[in-house]
Amino acid sequence: MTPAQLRRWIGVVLHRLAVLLVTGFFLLPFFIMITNALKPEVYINAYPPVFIFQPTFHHFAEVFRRYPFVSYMLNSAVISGSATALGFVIGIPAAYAIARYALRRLVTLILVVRMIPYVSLLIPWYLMAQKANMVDTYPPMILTHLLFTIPYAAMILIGFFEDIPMALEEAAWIDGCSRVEAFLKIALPLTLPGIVAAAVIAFTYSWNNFLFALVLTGAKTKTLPVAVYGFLTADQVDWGGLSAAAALITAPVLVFVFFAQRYLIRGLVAGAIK
Amino acid sequence: MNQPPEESGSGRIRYPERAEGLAYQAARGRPRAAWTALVDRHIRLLFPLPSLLAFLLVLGFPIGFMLYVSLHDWPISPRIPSIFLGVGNYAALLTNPRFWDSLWITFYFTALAVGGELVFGFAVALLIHREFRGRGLVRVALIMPMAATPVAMSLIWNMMMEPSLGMLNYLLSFVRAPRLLWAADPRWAVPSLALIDIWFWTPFIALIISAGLQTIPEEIVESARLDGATALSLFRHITLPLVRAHVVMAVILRTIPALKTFDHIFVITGGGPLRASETLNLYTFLEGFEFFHMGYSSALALTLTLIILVVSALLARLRAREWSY
Amino acid sequence: MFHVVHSLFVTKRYALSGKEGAVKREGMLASLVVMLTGLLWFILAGGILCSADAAAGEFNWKRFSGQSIRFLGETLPATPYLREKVIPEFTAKTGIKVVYEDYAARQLRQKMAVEMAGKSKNLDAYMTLPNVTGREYWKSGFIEALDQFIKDPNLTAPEFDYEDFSPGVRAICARYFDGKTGCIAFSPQTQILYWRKDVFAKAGLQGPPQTLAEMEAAAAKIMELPEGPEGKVYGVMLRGAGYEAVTQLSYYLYTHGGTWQDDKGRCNLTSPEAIQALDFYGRMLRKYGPPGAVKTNDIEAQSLFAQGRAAMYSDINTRAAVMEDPSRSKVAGKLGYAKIPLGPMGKRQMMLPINGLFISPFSDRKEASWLFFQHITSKEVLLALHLQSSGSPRVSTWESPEYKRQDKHPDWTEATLYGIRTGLPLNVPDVLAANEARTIIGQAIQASILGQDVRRAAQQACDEWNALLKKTGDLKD
Repeated sequence: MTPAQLRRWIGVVLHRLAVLLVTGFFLLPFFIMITNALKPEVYINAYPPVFIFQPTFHHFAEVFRRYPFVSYMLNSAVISGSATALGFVIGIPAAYAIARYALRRLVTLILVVRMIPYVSLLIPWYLMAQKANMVDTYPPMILTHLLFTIPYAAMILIGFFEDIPMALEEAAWIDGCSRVEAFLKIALPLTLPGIVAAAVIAFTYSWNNFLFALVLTGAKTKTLPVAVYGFLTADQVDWGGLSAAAALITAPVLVFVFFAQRYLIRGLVAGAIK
Repeated sequence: MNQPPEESGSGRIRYPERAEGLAYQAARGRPRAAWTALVDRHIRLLFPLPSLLAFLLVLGFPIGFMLYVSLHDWPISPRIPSIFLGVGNYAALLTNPRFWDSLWITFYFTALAVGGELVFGFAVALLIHREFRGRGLVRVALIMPMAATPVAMSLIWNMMMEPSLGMLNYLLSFVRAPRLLWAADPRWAVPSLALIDIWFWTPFIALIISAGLQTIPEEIVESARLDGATALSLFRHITLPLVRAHVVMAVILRTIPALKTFDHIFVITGGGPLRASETLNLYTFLEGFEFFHMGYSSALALTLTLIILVVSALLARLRAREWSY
Repeated sequence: MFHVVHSLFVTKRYALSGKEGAVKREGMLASLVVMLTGLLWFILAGGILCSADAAAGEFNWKRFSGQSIRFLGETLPATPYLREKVIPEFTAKTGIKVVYEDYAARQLRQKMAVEMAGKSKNLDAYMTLPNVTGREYWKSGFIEALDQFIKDPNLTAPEFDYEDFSPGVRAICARYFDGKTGCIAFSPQTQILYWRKDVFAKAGLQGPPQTLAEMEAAAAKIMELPEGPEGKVYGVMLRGAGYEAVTQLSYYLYTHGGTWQDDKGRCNLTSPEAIQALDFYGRMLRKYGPPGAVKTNDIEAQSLFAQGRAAMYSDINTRAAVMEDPSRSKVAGKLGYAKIPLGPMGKRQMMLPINGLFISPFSDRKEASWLFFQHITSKEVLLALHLQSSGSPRVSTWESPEYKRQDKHPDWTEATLYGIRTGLPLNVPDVLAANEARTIIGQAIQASILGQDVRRAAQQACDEWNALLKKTGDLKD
């Protein structure tokens, strides 16, 4: 082997090694999560850690037995789904208007909305919900989640709308479409990848939300992140159960993201750059 | 009036209405409904309107309330009256060393986290820039931390950081490093939390920078190589300047949320030990929901908002310089 | 029924007018009279029967049947039993539905604050620690006085027998509430010392340690034991997280002869006895406890001990329920229980925190909640819970022959009873802002665990706490 070839070969090996280490770093917690969730109780606190064992579904069963986990999942799904859907119905037209009319100040407003620390808004929100007799119901949570789903919809889609040449819509106008129709039938479909990406991101963010749910949900509307925090502070630290619960909570969004990943990367990047 | 349509480069619309209306009638065989024209004329207002209303509803009263409460000593009991303090709460927080400590910790955490994410993210972007087998899978692995639920993964990290049984110290034992206390040690609390934040958000930065790397034209790299550029000088003189805009964007997008980080700090250390990891956001929460000093907590929240606004303004200037926007 | 009676009087069925109608109408009138008479008879008879019942003193549990109450409680080892057996029993007995939500102590307080701030009509009753939040809640108007319920024979079943509750526990429920009864005690929770008989035997030690000095020596000896197959067993396990550790420290503080406050109400942590106690606590955990203990809260400490990682552990007695459960603990059957060891002055002081049941003044269903309290603190229910090491506030429970027969851990009984009889309600300082004081004092404890200058940490804590005391008006000068 020539020295140049050797150098290249070493370069390749180092590169692959680096990639392996990096990937390992990012996957490590998921690995721990799955293994702990499947480990029999006796191995969980063993040190050095045991990697070869007979997997058991006992922890998952326990999680479902001790807590109304399905109810929590349902709550999370309803709240996040509604918040995303509603946020997009509201936010997409706004994105279009911003793109077409260069509404800079609205963009600034949206950015400012995302800057506010939400901690202090919790008490007023709770009081509002109480006045409307809607404590421990879905609407307050859905409405507060609009604070992120609308900005995500808007910010990511502005770029996509700007990418669509005016000529297409103008042609439609010439043919007699109203502007609203042109928006709905021409511009919107072209931004579908962006919408999918933004929807996945917004849904994920809403699903993972912890702070709002901590204060605004009760027994009936408790979402998964709050439920899992409750596991931590409940009557004992059960690493197996905790891991199983963590896995159950993270799994839906991971699956979701996995299937939408192509859109996601494109949308994330495009939205970020614009 | 009948005017020719303007060039659509800026995305602005100026289209004569009468011609539209006539075209509509020609195409459909009936005149356009009056309200359709109305909507069309006012798209600029009507399309963003629902968003504005939503913001007003969800933020209007709460922010006003927060402002009002911050000017009072506002006890949580309905029986005890609130006392008007004017700027009393603000004066109190400015003279409270705990506030300044939390401010410092917030910036310390943000610097470590965003700095780490930037450096590491850049490295990762460079690594996946090359074509190689399995690149798609690596991309998928990268997205996972961003999607995972912070609270759930914080619990997992908590397990990993357990001094005697956790995975991290086990891995350290392989390289003969001493056992660390991680988040249980006041000196290591913030770095540990920053590490977790780096785990969560490096992929985000990496993807943005990766997109930037892809905008670098191949020819420039090739010609530089032919001219004998080493990897390092390639990086310094070509790569870095050309992706600078993306780097700045990544910093902006990450810094603001980092200043507001709550979930994993709350779950893992709750601000401790000995307040070592008590960021301003956490301090605001504790004052409000542990001790129920609502007025003081609201004042803290508004101060944090102000700080974030100042930081964003500075970053926006930076962005304006990089992007001809 | 109408038709039956009606058909007894009428043969024709159809038209009501005309001559045939007249007959029919007559028939209908007759059946109406019969029915009214019957009704009257039932009312009279029922009234006689009911009054006979009242005279016989039977309590009407079903008086508020159909109502639904919402109860916010702390997650306790007894919670699953409450949910699965006691509450369904209650609903069957009274027809009252109970929505029982349980949270960890800290989260419970946060939830309570948010709900009370809005005068929520949605919260009927709750459980909390009167020592910690009693004064604050009373001053804020979150507590309904219970004397009126206890004295009302229509609302209190005779078997409730409030006198059966131990005097100490009744005193605590009246202490913070201007002399009124603010709560009904549910679970007294004095701290005891748990020790591993097997580890002590392996180290050649005679347990349990009688004095704190012995405790320290034992811990040191145990740390020197070689690591077994189950990993290293540390000498002692204590709570390290500041806020949670304060209640544990109270025992050691008073056993050393220290107090939270001096006679003027100022912070007394800088007294030599207090410094000694702080130093002891921090030293024990630092030298003989697991690494990273400064972050350990009460649940983690319990969990670590249940996994067999330490030889000694001082915490509330009700944790024995978890410790002796083989499905949740690896040390079941290996434990001994003792009182907190004697201090350097040859004395010991136990504390008596209790979990109390409270009724919200904003509720519309106070009576139904009161019935609920009576049920879950009834002699039968408390005995059943007590047999699961829950600890009962009733004297009769402890003295019942059934308990004595089934008592598998007489040393636990002895230690707990000692605590109940002699315990002071001072596991946290008796001040208005006890919650905040806990956080401040906790810092000093953590500093001690980390090996920092105890004197300085105590002084810092006292400065902060005194400022707080002045603000809340707790200082007596």
